[in-house]
Amino acid sequence: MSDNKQSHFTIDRALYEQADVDNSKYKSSPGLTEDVILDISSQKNEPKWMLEKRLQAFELFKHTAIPTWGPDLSGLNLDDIIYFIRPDAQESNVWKDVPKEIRQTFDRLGIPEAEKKYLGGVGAQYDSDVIYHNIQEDLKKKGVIFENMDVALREHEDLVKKYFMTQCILVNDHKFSMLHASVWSGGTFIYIPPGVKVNLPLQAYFRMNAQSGGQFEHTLIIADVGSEVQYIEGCSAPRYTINSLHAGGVEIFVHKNARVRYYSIENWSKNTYNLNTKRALVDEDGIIEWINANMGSGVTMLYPSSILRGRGARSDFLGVAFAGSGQNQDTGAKVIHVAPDTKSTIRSKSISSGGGVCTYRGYVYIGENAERSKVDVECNALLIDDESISNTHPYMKIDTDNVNIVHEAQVGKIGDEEIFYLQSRGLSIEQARQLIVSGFIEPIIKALPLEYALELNRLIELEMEASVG
Amino acid sequence: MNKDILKYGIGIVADMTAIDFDARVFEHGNMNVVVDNLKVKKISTKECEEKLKNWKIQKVEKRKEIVDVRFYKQNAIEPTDIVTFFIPKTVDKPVHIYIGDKQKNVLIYLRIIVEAGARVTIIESIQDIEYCGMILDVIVGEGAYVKYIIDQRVDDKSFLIHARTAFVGKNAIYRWIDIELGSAISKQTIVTELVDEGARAETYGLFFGIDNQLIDLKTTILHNASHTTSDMHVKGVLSGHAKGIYYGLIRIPHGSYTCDGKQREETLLLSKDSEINSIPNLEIENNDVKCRHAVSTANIDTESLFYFQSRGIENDTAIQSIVEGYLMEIIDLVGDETLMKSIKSTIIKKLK
Repeated sequence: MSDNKQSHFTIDRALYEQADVDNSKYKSSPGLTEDVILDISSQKNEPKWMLEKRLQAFELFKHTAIPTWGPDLSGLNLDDIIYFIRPDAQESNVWKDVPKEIRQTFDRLGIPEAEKKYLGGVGAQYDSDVIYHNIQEDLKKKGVIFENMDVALREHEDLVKKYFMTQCILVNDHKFSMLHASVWSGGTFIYIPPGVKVNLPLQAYFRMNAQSGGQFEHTLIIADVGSEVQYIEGCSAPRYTINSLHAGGVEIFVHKNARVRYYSIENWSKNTYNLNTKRALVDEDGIIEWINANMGSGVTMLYPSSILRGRGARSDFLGVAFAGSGQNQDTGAKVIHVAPDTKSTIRSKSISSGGGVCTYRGYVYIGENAERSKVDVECNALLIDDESISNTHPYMKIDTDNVNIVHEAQVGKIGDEEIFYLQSRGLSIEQARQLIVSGFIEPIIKALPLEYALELNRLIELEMEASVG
Repeated sequence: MNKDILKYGIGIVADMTAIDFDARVFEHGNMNVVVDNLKVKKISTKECEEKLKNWKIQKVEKRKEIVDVRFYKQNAIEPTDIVTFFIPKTVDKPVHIYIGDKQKNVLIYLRIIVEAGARVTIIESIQDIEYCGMILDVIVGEGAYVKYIIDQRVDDKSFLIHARTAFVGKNAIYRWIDIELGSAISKQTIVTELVDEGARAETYGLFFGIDNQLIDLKTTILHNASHTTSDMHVKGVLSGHAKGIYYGLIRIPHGSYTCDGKQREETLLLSKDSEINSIPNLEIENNDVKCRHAVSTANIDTESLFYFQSRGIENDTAIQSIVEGYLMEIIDLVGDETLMKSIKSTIIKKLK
């Protein structure tokens, strides 16, 4: 039994939270001014239209107030954040060319091993720049583009210009999409040509290292007619005393009959504000699948949205959030049905422990012409102790009849009888609790690729250990 | 943005501009309240204070659950203006409260104190009126049982904005039955605060909107003590251009243990232009609880209609039977045969 217990805790949060020596080549001064934006743009040698977009977004950003609904953002001082940090490294597609210190960080996180084993391609971003990018040859031959966003802007400017913050996430959406548009740097660009099916998942790993840094990567996935792709994103940051900010943007275009599966495991350190915008536009018979795990960060506000605009489009959302002491996970999903015969499912699970707050905030809209649409929402919350908080705020707006909408939510604790049963089988209280929690999040674990499933399971055990023990 | 448009978050709004507050002259309408039960007495402010000295009852402006107190603030009622009725333990017949009738635009602040141990059914009927703004507080003593039926069948030109709060004492049971059938705009805020251990709250509601009716229903249950239980069930039917907003909340704060809360809302949409906005909320700050909620929206599917047709029943009659059957679950709770019959006939009238 004791051996077994050992193996449960081989992972250590320090793995993620240990900072490296800050060897950045370039750092902008804290705070956001027009000069910072001009600087980012000129260093990247961007086309004029992109700079104009940045400046337009900045102009809007200045005049927009921080949202007051949802979690408290008063601890976030936007003037303290460093908006652009370049590591001392050139992007490379050979792992050993990456500088040693940075390589060590990613080695620790297991990125290159994962690539060898089962990935079709991988990218790694360190602060504001992507430092490693690789894709399998046969995918390249089929016309799949998997690039760093900055490179994509140079080499596939037409595609980027057509899709970049033009119809999916709009520049003027909200305060943090404006901020993102003005200072975005790095991220992933994926284009899958018509009919191409990528069997192995593509992966990117994002790491914030510099103190009080901000990471604003932009991910753009375009799945052309009849194509299929899976994309995994992992995120972490070391722990500092000053808050850092992550305001990324993910835009996914699912064209006719295409299918995209998007995984994201966020494990930012607990003083990170994770204010992310993720959205997918789904055309006729297209399918978007979101699999989201929110483990880290102090405050999360993240609501992946799907706009089902083609007949028969579908969206499946599976999410898990874990809030430990001092964490506020405000997550959920939005689905906008604006075409007939569209379907969506939302499964959300949350665990609050040690005084953490988990909130499910969702929105389902059925437009006037979205006849015969079906929606199924299910939220489950588990409260580990009596200091923790769970909130459920689903919004539903239905503008037509001939629909079928179901929402259900349940909040509860771990039953004493279940614990007693496991104890009678020789497990300790902690082990019993962990086992029950593992069972609770099993649907999400099942959907994840093996390595991530293990990592997520261990992280939850670790967090539980901290709160229960 | 017009001040009379209420926002409930993402794209959900209740447009109250039709009420046109500026054009109205309001009267304090306490004389509009008639209670027909000999055992129920109107009591003075002093007596009321004496009876409520052990209760913590916040001013309306301070109650967070009552959204947009602006509508109630204009009542500007002094404590001396509150009409207070006392229902003693000896009450044996249902208490009928008639509201309205005399003036056109009225503002009412009504308070009902139910003595510990009393068992009573209160039936509130609102008469045809142009505008009725009302604040109602019901204070339920230890071990009492109160069934409060709101029979709202005013004509389709009336505007109603009501905020109702029940304070439920130890081991008492409080049951709201809200029948919302009439009015042009009806905004109902129904709050039940479980003040002491063992209290139970039940909120049942039924709404049926046709033409351009707007029904905005907010039901809240606050579990402010341990070992409290609650059940909430609202069923609605919307047709024509009618719009419904349902906002439900169960709140179990820190320190209230072994509470059990249930919340259900179902809507049946009969037309393409009808609209329902459902916002069921749970706020739980405690792990020793059981709490769940569910909402669903559906329409009458063609298969059900086909079933009726195959038995020689026409579509109109079939729809009528389905709607009646659907709402029966709530109507049955009313219990009073005459009232149930008359509610059913109003529903059938509305279907035509």
